[in-house]
Amino acid sequence: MNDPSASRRRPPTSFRTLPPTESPRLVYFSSASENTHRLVQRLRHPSVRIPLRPRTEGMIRVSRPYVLVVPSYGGGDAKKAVPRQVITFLNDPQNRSLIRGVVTAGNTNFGEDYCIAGPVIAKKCGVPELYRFELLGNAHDIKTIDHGLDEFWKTTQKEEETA
Amino acid sequence: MTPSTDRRPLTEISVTPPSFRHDPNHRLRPINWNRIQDEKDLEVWNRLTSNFWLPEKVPLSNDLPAWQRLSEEERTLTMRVFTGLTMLDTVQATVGEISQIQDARTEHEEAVYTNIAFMQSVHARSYSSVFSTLASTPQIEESYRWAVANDLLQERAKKVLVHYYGDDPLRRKVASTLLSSLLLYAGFYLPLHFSVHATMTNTADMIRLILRDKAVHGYYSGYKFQRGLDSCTGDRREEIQAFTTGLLDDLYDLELQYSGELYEPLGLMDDVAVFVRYNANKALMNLGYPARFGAEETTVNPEILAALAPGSDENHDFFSGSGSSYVMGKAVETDDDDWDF
Repeated sequence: MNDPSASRRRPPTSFRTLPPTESPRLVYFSSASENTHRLVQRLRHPSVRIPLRPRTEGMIRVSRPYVLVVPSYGGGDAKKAVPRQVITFLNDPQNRSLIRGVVTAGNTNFGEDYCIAGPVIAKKCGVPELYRFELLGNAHDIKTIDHGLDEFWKTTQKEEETA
Repeated sequence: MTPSTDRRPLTEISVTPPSFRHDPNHRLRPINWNRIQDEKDLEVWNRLTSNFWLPEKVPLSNDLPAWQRLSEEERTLTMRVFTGLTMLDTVQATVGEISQIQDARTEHEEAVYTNIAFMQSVHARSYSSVFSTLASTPQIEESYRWAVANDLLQERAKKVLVHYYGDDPLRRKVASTLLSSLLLYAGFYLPLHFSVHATMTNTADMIRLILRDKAVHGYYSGYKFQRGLDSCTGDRREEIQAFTTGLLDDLYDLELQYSGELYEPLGLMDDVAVFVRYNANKALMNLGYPARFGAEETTVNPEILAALAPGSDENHDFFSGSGSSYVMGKAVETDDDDWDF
């Protein structure tokens, strides 16, 4: 992991394509801490989780536009703020082409780096950063994200139809 | 010397050194970082070591002119608040973190607590750096005499110490998480408040480094607490949750009294109490429990929140419609080799 060239030598990750009927509008990553998982479980919107161990479990390839929910690893090297599984997921051109926005979990204790994975992904993928919340999120966050996603997809669909 | 012929896994035929006290006849095993049992241990170790810092790197003496401009009352408050923080970090470094080594689920977890304990000692020492930079020896002596004589300060520390020396591993974790996320924050409020008023900014920078560390410490203890809960019965889980609620309420009451005496003369206590409740909720989240306090009583003064994390404002809330436009992300270096695009 410390060797920067290590990623080049890794065996290719196998991808499993989710057909459009099984490709939810919400994709998320959660580490073994399950913090982000808990927030997503409380949302109305169906979701799919990015595998924790892509090299053994395989990686998913989605088929419909989605919003990504991702925890930001705070402190230390800002380059390591995005979980490596999310990078593997986004390195796939199809997955990358379908992302429409990013929601980020973090902790204000990390100061300037609070939710830094959000702007990193937003900038690399050219999508808006939609929302930030702390740790597992609270009742207000759940309500805001649920309602926000409803409105976001209404607008986005219209734009994509007229485009 | 003959090489061992026993091919059973090492974890079955040997123990780590803390188990010596339970059975001195066991074979001992050295830590092996090349055989990780829980990836979280390595991830947190790497984060902790990359966050390492020392107070000597913070130009605290640049705060001398600001210190001279503070009122006598504010200077005394600062000395006392920081002496109180020193007390808690001393408890954590010398007892709280070390007491969790015996309950570790992996050998790497044992090592992580030694790292956290050392960092808590760095935090405790950093307040002494502030004192030696800004205050006189008699002032410092006076503040420590105040801490030793203050009953509420003593009770706060002893309320958690009793669980560190108790025999319940999960209560140790709850006590440790609540100390780090509830008791410390009334103290952290003061330098953030100063920084909002553009004073004592180097001291505030040092506190931000401490805050960053505390977040990782709380996250890790909370994570290991939840792994411990995984194997518990429903009754035991209920017992621990009830214990957590009870201890949180006791510590919160003590905190309001202790911090009230400090902050009320300056009219800051209402704001401080909100900050304490906001952080108490975060402590519970780290432990995997729902919030104890509602949104209306945990809405931190936006200036304090901005002093803590500039990116926590409504500009990052596209969903609520308060931001007029998307935030497309500020420039962040991402020339990481992992990215293919």
